[in-house]
Amino acid sequence: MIKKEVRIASELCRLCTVREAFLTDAKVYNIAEDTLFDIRLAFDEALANAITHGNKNRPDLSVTVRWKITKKAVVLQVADEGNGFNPRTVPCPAEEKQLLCPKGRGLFLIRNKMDSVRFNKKGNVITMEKRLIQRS
Amino acid sequence: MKCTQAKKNNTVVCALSGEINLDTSPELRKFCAGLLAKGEKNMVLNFKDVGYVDSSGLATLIELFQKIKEKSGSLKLCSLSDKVKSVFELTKLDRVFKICPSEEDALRD
Repeated sequence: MIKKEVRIASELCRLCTVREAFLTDAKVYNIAEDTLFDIRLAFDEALANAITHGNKNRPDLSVTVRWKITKKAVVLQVADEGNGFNPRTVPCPAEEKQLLCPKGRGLFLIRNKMDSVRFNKKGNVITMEKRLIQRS
Repeated sequence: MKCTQAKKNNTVVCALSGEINLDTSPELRKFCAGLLAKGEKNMVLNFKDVGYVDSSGLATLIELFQKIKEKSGSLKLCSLSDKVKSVFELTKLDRVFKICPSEEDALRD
């Protein structure tokens, strides 16, 4: 099992470094390419949301990323220091009237690419899980 | 991400390579804005060598679609990998963009 916690300042330029650290750990488990694509997409979207929407790009606020990788699953947690939000109020970007709206697809992608997604009550911590299919 | 362009009849074919993500989307936006500024309004974006698109990439493409639509032009995407295509299908953006199997198909339509 690999378990890690990384804290970064709320700057989008930090995303790449923490993603590479996560992918390096994920590769140890020989995760299928398609599955890794989905996890990476959810990872990027959750971090970008935490930095831009949660912490409003304030570098004095931190984003904490935790991951746990086992043979059976990848669990990711992203926590920001913002005021949180109600994820139920986010409009579905796949609805006809939202299709041409450029923004607002991050959470939708996370929900559809991961097997389980949950928020804390405040709405500033997202925990998501992707189950892994065993490969020889 | 790299963008190279070639004019074919009245259409500019842009071959994209790499990832269209938070880091590279501004580059793509600038590249396409340059083409629009030169009066190009018919574009085919070839995704053959694009391995990843995130929501910021989708946002950039929607903005481009709207700008081209304002000019009564045409935007087509072609040669998407299955994984990249799945992002468009999941978000129902395959209803917005004309997605063609190959560059030849995109230019023929």
